[in-house]
This record gives sequence, structure tokens and C-alpha cells, in this order.
Amino acid sequence: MNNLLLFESKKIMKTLYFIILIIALFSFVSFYFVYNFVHTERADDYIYKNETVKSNFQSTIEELSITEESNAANKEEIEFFVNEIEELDMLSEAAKNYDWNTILNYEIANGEELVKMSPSQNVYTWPTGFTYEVVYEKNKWLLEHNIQPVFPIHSNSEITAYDRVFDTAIIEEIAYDFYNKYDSSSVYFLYLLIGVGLNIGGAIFFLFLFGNVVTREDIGRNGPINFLATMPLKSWKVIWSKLITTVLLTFLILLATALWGLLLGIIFDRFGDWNYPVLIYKPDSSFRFMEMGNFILLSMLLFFIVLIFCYSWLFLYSVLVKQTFMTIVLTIVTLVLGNLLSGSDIGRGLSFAPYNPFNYFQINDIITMEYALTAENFSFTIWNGIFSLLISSFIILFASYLIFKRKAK
Amino acid sequence: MIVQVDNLTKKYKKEWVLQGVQFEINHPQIVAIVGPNGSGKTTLFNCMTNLLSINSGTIKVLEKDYKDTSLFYDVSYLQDNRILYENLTAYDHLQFVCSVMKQPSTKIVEVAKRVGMESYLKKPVQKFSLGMKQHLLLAMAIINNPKLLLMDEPLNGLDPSSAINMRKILLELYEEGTTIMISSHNLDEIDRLTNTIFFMKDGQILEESLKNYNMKQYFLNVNNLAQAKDKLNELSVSYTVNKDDQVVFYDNETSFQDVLIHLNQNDVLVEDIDIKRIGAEKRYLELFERTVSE
Repeated sequence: MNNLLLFESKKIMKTLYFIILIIALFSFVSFYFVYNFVHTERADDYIYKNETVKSNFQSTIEELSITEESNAANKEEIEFFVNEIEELDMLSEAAKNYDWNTILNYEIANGEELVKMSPSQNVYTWPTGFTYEVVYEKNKWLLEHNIQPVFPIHSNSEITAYDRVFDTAIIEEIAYDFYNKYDSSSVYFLYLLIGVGLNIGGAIFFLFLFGNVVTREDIGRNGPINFLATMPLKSWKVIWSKLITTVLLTFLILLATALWGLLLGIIFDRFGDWNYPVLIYKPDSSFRFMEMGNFILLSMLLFFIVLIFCYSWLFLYSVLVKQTFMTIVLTIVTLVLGNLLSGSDIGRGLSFAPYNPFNYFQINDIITMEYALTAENFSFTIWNGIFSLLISSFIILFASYLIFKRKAK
Repeated sequence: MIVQVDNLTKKYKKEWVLQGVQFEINHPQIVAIVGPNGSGKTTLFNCMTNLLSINSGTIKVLEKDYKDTSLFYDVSYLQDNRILYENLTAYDHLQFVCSVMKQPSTKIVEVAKRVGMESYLKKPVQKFSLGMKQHLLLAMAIINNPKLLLMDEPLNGLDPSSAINMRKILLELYEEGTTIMISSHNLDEIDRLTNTIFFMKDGQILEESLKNYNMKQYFLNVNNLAQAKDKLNELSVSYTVNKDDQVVFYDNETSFQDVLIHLNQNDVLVEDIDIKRIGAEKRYLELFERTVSE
């Protein structure tokens, strides 16, 4: 079997097409890292922001001071801004000394007030009380675990599933501007990379990468499959070795991409914190946090299983249509259609929906349980996903093998 | 027994490609399969190696059922060059065959030298000429010292020196005890390799070619042609009389002696005997012209 695996790997890796796609993948990761690196809010940026706000406050104080009708209200206002400036100075000083605890304590105190002031859940505010609570608890988690925060960490720095209703596009844009979505530390960068890469788009990339694993054998057309068929090898070993090689190479590519992301972070920034909190939704407007490292591992595991499901379709179409481009197109059409239909309100509302493998392509949303929350069905779990993906992959692969055996003669 | 094919039939779509093919090879030899395009030569090889399913009949190779994949440790099939992976090197191909066949990797260089392809061992197949591909296919087929070697048009694309080298290798393999079944359109080259030729037409091995393979053609001048014909009819020998009034028949040495004894005992004097070895081309023309006219 080992010789078959090695031979299959050579067949895949010794093509210009494969090499170009791998270079494209690593270039994308590198560019995305640069993009994140540039947009990361560091201590200096934090101080600069504070200084900008401070200078605005100072101008306001000056304007209020020179107003002829200086009265008690003005004085009160001036006092407020003076206090604000003092706080900003304190925060800037803390940032200068990388004293994150001071900053976190300040945000926790602010957050606590906001949480207390939040109206009941029946009254809509933006952000929601749920979000304030999340930010508050998150900052507490950062403080307790002595974690360097990823800026910004203020009360509006999080957008939860409950907030995704915006009155206007401008509000939406502003909201996302506040949202903490860039960081170039290794772990956080990997988390962000998972957000952009581990979805149906990422799966399609892998389909292109391994699209001709079976079709290159020209089954039924006196192609290379006849060479393998006239070796002392069982036919199931031939097809099985293709699947194993594809899965192994996928694993290695995912691992190498993750390591590359981590390495970029370590070299140009810092490693970050494995236990950075990631929000996980629970029923009844409750939530918990998952350590970012665990989140990354689970995401990669689920994506890996999703890819096996995609490959099973790829193999099925490979033995049916025997032509690479058509195979890839049909596989993509099946996956996209399956995903769209399953993801619709009707699709997600079906009783067996949690066991429909097409529902598990939104890796991030599945693990954070946002998918379950929006579908109002908390049976959409990673484990149900893995179960349904593996069972259906096995069935499709078995069917592919039967067709392969029939078509090969 | 090396090969035993019994009443083999193969239908492809609605057409019978093989129709009751039957033959046996019991000792190491070189057997050529000759026939026009579409006569079923490649299909026969593909059925023997289980690349194609059969409709009826039995195939036994080296005393085993043809479906037994372990046969391929001892049976090699040199096929069309479309079986090669264009992006891999000759070395990659040979290394794989070596590892599957449980042969030492030193065999790679050894066989490359034997075939004459050391200089392009590390080149990808996509840069190969047709002849280079045939070299690689041959190297892959002989690396395991097979007991039975099936070769489908191995001479295609070979320049004269390569063809000579291939013939030399095949004769060496035959000397070493390998049975070779070779299909080719190059009848001159076949003649240099073997007398044993199975002629195929319309999915059948012509029975006469089976009976007469490895035969010579005898031309007898007799003193009494009419009497000679009567006596030969008594022996049920198939013969013809040519325009020079010579009795012409095919047979092997033993039957020929029987004919001579029989004629002599019945007072037919054989005045002159001319023996010709029958070339593949002549046999081909004879057999196929006859079947066409029939």
C-alpha cells in the first residue's frame, strides 16, 4: 500500500498545475497576513487614538472656556472632559508600558455599568445587551487569564448574531469599523484565516487541487488505469490509495498552511494566546467561551471532514463522467446547490436538517453555534456534522467504487 | 500449461469482438498474433489480463484463473503508451513497478541499460518520443523477469536499431524461459522472432493457422499425379496442385514422413521435393485472401 501511496503522491505533486495552486495558496496566506499586519491596532495606534480623542476634548474645553455665557452647566461639562482626558492619559500611559490589566480593568468597569444599564431583552438596542455582556465577560476572561487583548476592546468592539440587524448600510459600515477583526499575532491570525478560508470557497479550492486524481487514469479508455490494473494489486487498493493520498495530502496542506500562518505571526509579530476567548452561543440567549486554540483545532477537523465529503462527490463524478473539468464543475454545482437549498429557511427547518451534510460548510458558524442559533435548532453541532458527513461520504464512496469496478471493464 | 483459452467470447456493445477463441500454449515459446485491425488481438490480450470482462469461456494462465491478480508477479503486459503518466519520469514508473513486484531497486538501472534508456531515465515522459515510450514500456514489462509476456504492438514507433535491440531482448527472454505473446503488424520482424503465428480474423483464431503454425510448405514432383492424388485423399491430407503439377501441402515433419511412406508403398515415385519455410507475410496473404474469397 505504501508504494501506491507514494506513487499517487508523485502523480499529484509532480504537476505544474498543482505547484501553481499551492504557490497561490501560500501567497494568499502571506498577503492576508500583510493585510492584517497593516490593520492591526497596536499600543502605538491605541495611544494615537486616545491622543486624537484627547485633542478633540481639549478643543471642546477651550471652546467651552471662552464662551461668554459661562455657567454651571458649562463648568460641569468641562469637568467631565477633564476627567475623560485624565482617563485617556492613564490608558495611554498603561499602553505605553504594555500594562494591559489597567486597560482591561477600565473596560470591565465600563462594561459592568453598561450591562447593568441594559434594558430587558424585549427592548431592542444596538448593540444588544447580550453583546455588552459578551464584551464584559470577554474582558474579564482576558484579565483572569492574563492575556494581551486584541484591540479594540471597548463595548462596541463586538458584533454578535443578535446585532446583525442594521437600520442603514452606513450604520453597518460604522459598526464593522469598530469591530475587532485584525490581528497579526500567530494564533489570532490563524483564527481570522479560518474565517476567510474554511468555507465552501476553501472547499472549491481543494476540489481544483485534486480534481484530476481519478480522471487522470482515463478509466475505460485504455488509460493509465490499465497499467495499475495489470499490476499485482487489488482494485479496491487502487481506488482506496487515491482517497487516502488525497486525504493525507489535504491534511498536510492544511497543516502546512496553518504552520505557515503561525510562522509569519511569530516572525513578524508574536505568537499570541492559545486561550484567547471565542464566543460560543447557547440556547436562551446565553453563551460561553471556547479557547481559541481549541476553536482552531475543531474548525480544521470539521473542514477536513467536509473536504472528505467533497472528495466523495468528486470521485463519484470522476467515475461517471471521466473528464476532469466536467467532474469539477458538477461537484461544485452539487455542493453549492446542496448548500444553498439546505441553508434556506425551509431546508434548515426540516426535521432531519441537522443530519444533512450540506448544512455543515459554514465552519465558523457551526462551531460558534451561530448556525444553530439562527436556525433555532441547537442540534446543528459539530459532532452531528461530522457524523452525517462521514456516513454520507462512505455511502457515496462505496457507490463510486461499484461504478468504478463496472466502468473499468 | 502456460496459457489455456477455451471457447472465449467477448461482446462489445452489440458486436462480437471475440467468438470462441481457443488455444493452448504448453511450453515456453514466442507466439505471434497477427491479424488486420479490429480482428480482436488487443481484446484477446485485454481479456487474458482481466482488463475486460468476458462473456463466456475460460482462461487459465500459469495454472491459475486469469482473474487472480497475483498472476501479475509472473505475467507482464506491454500495452499502449497511453498507460504512462506524462508528468512522471521513467525512473518514477520503474521504481513503482519495482516496489510492487518486490524487486530490488538496483534492477532499475540494470533494466534501463538493457533496454538502452539510461540517458533519459530521469526525464518526464511528456518529453519522450514514441520510441522512447516503447523502451520504457518494455523496461516496465521485463523488470520482473516474467514467465509470460504479452506485448501489444511493441514495435510501433521504434527506429531500426531499437527494433533490433528489442528483438535481441525478446530472444534472450525466450532463451531464459519466458513465453512471449506478441501482436504486431510488422510481419518481417515477426518472421525473425518466431514461426508460431496465430492469425486472427473477426474475433477468431483461424483454425488452419493453429493447425499449421510452425509448418513448412512441401512441393512434390511425382511420376503419377492422378495416383498420388488418390493416395493422398486416402490419407485425408489437404493439398493443392499448382500450375507446375506439383502437389503442395503443409505439414510438420512427422506427417510428411507418413505421406512419403504411403506414396512409396503405393508405387508413387516422388521424384523431387522442394521444402519452403512459409513466411508470415505469405501465410497472411494466403489465409486472408482465401477467407476473403470464401
